[in-house]
Parts: sequence; C-alpha cells; structure tokens
Amino acid sequence: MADVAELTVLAEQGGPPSARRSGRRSPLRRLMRQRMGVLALTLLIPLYLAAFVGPLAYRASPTKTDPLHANAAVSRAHPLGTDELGRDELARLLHGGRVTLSVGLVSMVVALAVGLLVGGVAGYYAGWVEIALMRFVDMFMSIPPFFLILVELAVFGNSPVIVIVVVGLSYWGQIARVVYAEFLRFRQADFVEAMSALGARGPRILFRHILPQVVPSAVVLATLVIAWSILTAAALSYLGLGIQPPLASWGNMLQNAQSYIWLDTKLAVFPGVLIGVSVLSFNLLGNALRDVLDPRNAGQ
Amino acid sequence: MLPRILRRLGQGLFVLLLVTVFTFVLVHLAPGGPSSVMRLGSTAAERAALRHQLGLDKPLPVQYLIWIGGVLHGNFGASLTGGEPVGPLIAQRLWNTVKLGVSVFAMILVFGTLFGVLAALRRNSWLDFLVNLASTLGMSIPDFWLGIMSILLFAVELHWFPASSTIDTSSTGVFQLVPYLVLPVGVLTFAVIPNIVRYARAAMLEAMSADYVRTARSKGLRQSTIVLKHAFKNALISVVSMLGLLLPVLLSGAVITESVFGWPGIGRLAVEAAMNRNYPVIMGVTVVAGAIVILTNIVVDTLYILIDPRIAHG
Repeated sequence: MADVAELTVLAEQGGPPSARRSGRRSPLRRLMRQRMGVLALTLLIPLYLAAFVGPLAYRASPTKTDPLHANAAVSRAHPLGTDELGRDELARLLHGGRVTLSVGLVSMVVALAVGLLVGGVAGYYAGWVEIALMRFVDMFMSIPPFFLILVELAVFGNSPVIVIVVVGLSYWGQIARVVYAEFLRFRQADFVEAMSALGARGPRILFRHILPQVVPSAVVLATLVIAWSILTAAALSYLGLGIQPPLASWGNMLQNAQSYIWLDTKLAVFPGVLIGVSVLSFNLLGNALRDVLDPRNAGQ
Repeated sequence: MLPRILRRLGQGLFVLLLVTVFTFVLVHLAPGGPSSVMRLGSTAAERAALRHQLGLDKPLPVQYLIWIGGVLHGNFGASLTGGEPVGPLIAQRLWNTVKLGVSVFAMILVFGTLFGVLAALRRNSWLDFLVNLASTLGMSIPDFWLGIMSILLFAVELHWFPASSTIDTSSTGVFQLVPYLVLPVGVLTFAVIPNIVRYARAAMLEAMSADYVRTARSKGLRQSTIVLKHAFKNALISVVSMLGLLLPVLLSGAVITESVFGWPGIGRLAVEAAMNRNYPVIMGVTVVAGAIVILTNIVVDTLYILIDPRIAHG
C-alpha cells in the first residue's frame, strides 16, 4: 500500500527527485562529460588493476629480504631495484597498493555507515534523540582528527583492522552533519507526511524513502572520504603507528625513507607519488561527481 | 544578542565537558588502559600498591572527578615515562605549536583569501585554473611526503634551510627561529590553504552576484569600489568565520609536520605519548587540543554575532 502511495505522490511531484536532478542522461554519461572525472577514472582503473591483479602476474616476493643486494639499482631481476633490506621494490609497490587502496575503501564504508546512521536518525527523530546525537557529533568534530586517532591507537593497539576502523571513525562526523541537514529538509517534505498519514512507520520511511534521496550527497562524500582515508593511513604508517611491516603499504614504505633518502631517492619517490596520484584521483572524482549529482553546483 | 551569545557559550562548554568524559572513559575502559602499563611491576602486592597510589582502585566516576578537578587547576598528573608533571610539559610544547600555527594562519589568511578572490574575479581564466590546480594538489599530496621532499631539495641539495628543528626553542629568539620555521610553515600552509582558497573563491563569487553588487553597479560605481568596498568586505566575513573550522585541520597537520621536521610542539608530543602509551600525556594533549578548538569556535561565533548587523538588529 505504501508503495502505491509513493508512486502517487511522486507522480504529482514529477518523478523521484534524483531522476529529475540528473535529467534524461544517466549519471555515468554526465560524468564522462566532466574531463577531470574521466582523468580520475583513467588513473584509478590501472592503479586498482595493478594492485589487485598485478601481484598475480609479477610473482616476486614483497617480503623476502636479500641484504647482499640492498638498495640495488634497476636491473632485469629487479625492475625497480630493491629497498634497504634488499626486498624487490616493484613487488612491494604492487602488494602495498593492495593494502593501501583496500584501507581507503574499507575505512570509507565504516565512516559512511556510522555517518548515515547517526545523521539519519538525528535528522528524522526530532527532540532529545536529535539533540543528544548532534552534541555527540559536535564533540567528535572538536577533537582534531589526528589527536583522536592517536588516543585510539594508543588504547587499542595498531592491528590492521583497528587502523582501518580508527581512520574510518575519524571522518564520520562530517558525513553525519551533511546527512542530518539533508534529512531535516525531508522531515517536513510532503511525500514524508503522506507516508506517515498512510501509516508507514519511522524506520520504513527513514530507510526506504528518505535514505535514497541522500544517496547523491553520500556518493560525493564517500569519494572524498576515500581520499582522506588513504592520506591518513599513509601518514600513520609514516609515524610508525599504522599498518606494520613486513606487510607492505605505500605509507610504511616511506617510514624509513627519511633516513635512506641520501642513499636512494627513488625509495622515497615511488610510494609518495602513488599515494598522491590515488588521492588526487579520488578528489577529482569527488568534485566531478558533485558537479554531476548536485544541482546546486550546476551553474558554477 | 546576549542570550544568543550565552547559549553559544553554554553549548560550547557542554561539548568540552563531553570531550573530557569521552577521552577519560576511552582511555580507562579499554583493554590496554592505564592498568596494563603496570605489568612491569613484578608482584601482585606491588601492582596493588601502584594501583592504589595512582587511584586506579577507586570507582571510575570518582577517578574522573579527581582527574578533572586536577585538570581545572592545570594539573594533568605525572608523565609515565619521566615522572615529570604533564601540565607544564604540554604548556611548553603548546607554545611551540602556537609559533608554528600562528605563522601558518597568517599565511593562509593572506594568501588563501588573495588567491581565492583573484580566482573568483578572473573566473575560468588561466589564473583560476592554476589556483584550482594548486589547491587540488595541496589537498592530495601527503604532507609528510612533501616535507621529506622539501628537506631533500632545500636542506640537503641547496642548503638553504636546516633539515630539522633540533634546537632549544625556549632560549632561541624569534628571529633566530625563522630559518627553522620556513620549511614546516611552508609545508603545512600548502596542505591547509586549499580549504580557504576554495571557500574564499565561492564566497567572492556569491558576493559578486548578490543584489547589492548589482545595485552598486547600476549606480555607476567603479569596478574597484564595487569589488573592494562591497563584495570583498562581505566575502571576508565569511572567510574569517571559516578559520575556526579550520583549526582541527591545522592541528592535525601539525602532528605530521612537527614529526617530519622534529619541531617540538604538541603534535610531536601526542605522537611520542601514543607510541609509549603514556596515558596521562595523551589524555592531557587530547583534552587541550579539543579545548582550543571549542574555545576558538566560541570566540569566532561570538564575533560573528557581534559583527553581523543582520543578527545584531534582527
């Protein structure tokens, strides 16, 4: 019954808002018209392929040390040379990419899940739930993210899972605020009132009807959160508090770069450039998606 | 207006209270909390004595009240590594971060606003493109990596600036500190400035399309008068109100930058404390960082209420 009502209401409004926003063309087609978005995808697809398929093709071990051939130059056996312990640099970059890019994705899922839940519930339920949750968000956003992360790592240790969760939990406040603002707009919307009048209950309205409206903003935020997560996880690894060696990540490959920089510049350059390129791509993709999905930016 | 300011103040202080409770509970309820540090104590009796000495045998709410009572008097307990009082340690390190942070804030306010406004006035020009490109790069390049690279270029190759700040910052004069500050300030500025550039650009674009600008134009005012006296003034207010929100970003960046350059600030202190699981220090540092953010935002919002005539007379 509720779905019938939804159709009626939406028909009166001229189709679901998300469909009206993007016009006739699919969002993907519109994205392809954004040159920067295309550039981002052409950078990201090879990066992901290299990280997730590359190690299957290039089978050198990323962890086998060979002190006699430490800091070796580029050669047939080692296409990108070796690091300070004689480990194959190319293998470490490929395996490290797997770890780094996965951390970005999983942290984003954590941030998005918590942000959507807290922001959505606070935005839908007026009253003390709203006040309590948003003060909690205020508190989380008052502690500078890196200080919060450092406390959490000091308390819970730094196993890979903890690092991923902690990085994800450092950015959910921003998502919660955006989702909250969107839900506030829809709390009073006609189609939501029509739903309640027809007897649909809170959770159903919340997840079936309002949540889809928030998807465009959430997609943009998610892309930017991946960029932030990759940067943050890399910085933690550099500080020696992130993903721990011998497991390679682009961040922890730079952990010793500062001491070996005089010996071997390439060890410090490769992982840094790869982190920069992936973060840049996600930032560009996020901006392109914002232009495509958010009508408020259409004119700029 | 006054009730509004008081409400803002009350809300801020409540959030600050939440920060202290959250930090305390997080550190004390977790499996790796303060009591785990004492596994070094050999006998059970010794451990019990130490627990008693540190007050860890009391109920958690009582422990919190004792701790927060001390914090309000500037007493953050004793460091677990050296036994020195945490309060003066944080104060000393914070002063170094203030030197770094104030320099960066001045840079981003001046240059961030300048580039943002110029990009807005020359929209879609090559200047707009360059500013956009530089700010996208600033957001994407890992700041610690940029720090390493700038050390390689400016300290190792060119010998323009020292590579790290292993100096006694307390006895060195401000002007002697400048060479040590150039690289950290430059790196941190590059990482934080994109936020303000983008915001200033958007604020200026909005101001230039506002009704009062159209009115000014139809009155026949010169372009420079319109830009400087009308649009820029309004854009600047929203840029300044944004600075408070940037403080967490700046402090987070300070953690990284201070670590790369060995600058003895509060960010470096937080990293050292996290590595050593030095709980009194890490709790103190977190609460102080949160307090700075909250108090600054109260001040910024209050100024905003005082400055903006729409609120003052509304």
